[in-house]
Amino acid sequence: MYCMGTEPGMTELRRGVLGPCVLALLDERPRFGLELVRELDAAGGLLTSDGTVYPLLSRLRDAGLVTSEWQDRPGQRARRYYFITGAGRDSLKAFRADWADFAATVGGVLFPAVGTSSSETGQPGKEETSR
Amino acid sequence: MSGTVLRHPLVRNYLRALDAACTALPPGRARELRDQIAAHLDEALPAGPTDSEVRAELARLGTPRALAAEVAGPVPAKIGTRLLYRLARLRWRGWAAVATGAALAAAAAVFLSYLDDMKTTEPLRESGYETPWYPQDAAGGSVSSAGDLTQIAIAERYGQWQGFAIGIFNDSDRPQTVLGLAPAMTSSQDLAEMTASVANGLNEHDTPIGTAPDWGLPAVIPPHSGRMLRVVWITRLCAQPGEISPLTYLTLRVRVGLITRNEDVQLNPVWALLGSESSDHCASG
Repeated sequence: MYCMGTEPGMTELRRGVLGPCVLALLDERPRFGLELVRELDAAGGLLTSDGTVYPLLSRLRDAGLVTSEWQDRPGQRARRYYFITGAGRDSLKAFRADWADFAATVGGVLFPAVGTSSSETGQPGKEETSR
Repeated sequence: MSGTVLRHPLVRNYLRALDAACTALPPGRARELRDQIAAHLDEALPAGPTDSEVRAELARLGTPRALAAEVAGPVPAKIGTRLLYRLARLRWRGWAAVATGAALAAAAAVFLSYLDDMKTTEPLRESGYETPWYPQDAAGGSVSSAGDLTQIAIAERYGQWQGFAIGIFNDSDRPQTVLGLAPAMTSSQDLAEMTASVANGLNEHDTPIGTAPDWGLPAVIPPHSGRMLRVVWITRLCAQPGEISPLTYLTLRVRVGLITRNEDVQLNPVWALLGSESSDHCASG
């Protein structure tokens, strides 16, 4: 059965956008691992599994986009918090710009504008099919 | 960490499986992932979680193999690199196993080399001394030469014991133990009941006739030493009068170290039986 949410293309798409999403969350404030997982889960459809966030965090750290440190805050257990770096912010800014164009392009292909004529697309338009 | 979550059997099994799945990763990366996952479980699950709660959380995390693959990335490490990572992760039991394996392999190599050395040890040879064993043969023997070969021929005495004594020498650096004649020689019908024995206390050039040495087997021939070897049999050879039946070599069963092998001892002079009238009854048989 074809399922849009689990097919390989979507998995790869999630993998591609998950890093910028993590950077975006960390751009708001530092977060610890489970916190990131919960928020990405709550966003819906971004995680194939909760555990994939941790290898991703390690890769972002290796790339210099995030840093991490253990913090023992009063009244809380000791946790490893992740912080976005300057390079991480630059990367996030660039991705946001690219994403806007990319999403518009993909959206334009997937959802053609209402009123497109058959002579332009070679497909029956709404005007024709409504007759 | 509270620790109660991490002691749950399902959690422990999961972390063990994660360790196993991460053996091909760099040790630091594998340790980091384990710490992250353990911290995640410890905080995500309540203290004293039920089995179903643990199962649900583990299912959300993904399989250990999938997590390890995520860390490894799209291009897995080369085989040699993965092997190094596995070796780097070995604890003392693993290293003990590796050391034991290496020691066994080294011992096997030494043992095989030792066996090979024994197999290639130079065999016994005749030292050049040869004499009929029985006085009546010594009296009637004739010696002839052709080129480098010398032949001692004596008349066969059908149905009687005949034999000779020769010197044998061990040129090798290992003791060689004569166990007897090879089965192929003792099964001869022409030279029936053929047996061999070695004289203790006599070197290869001592004259055995007229002495009373202790003959027997098995007998050790020390390295670079010689001994007297006696071979006797009951002659049942059906040779025509005047026909020569040479015995050009002896095949001895010899033990060298841990192996036992056949050694062909070339005879020179060649020992030969000369057919006589006493074997005429073979024709009628």
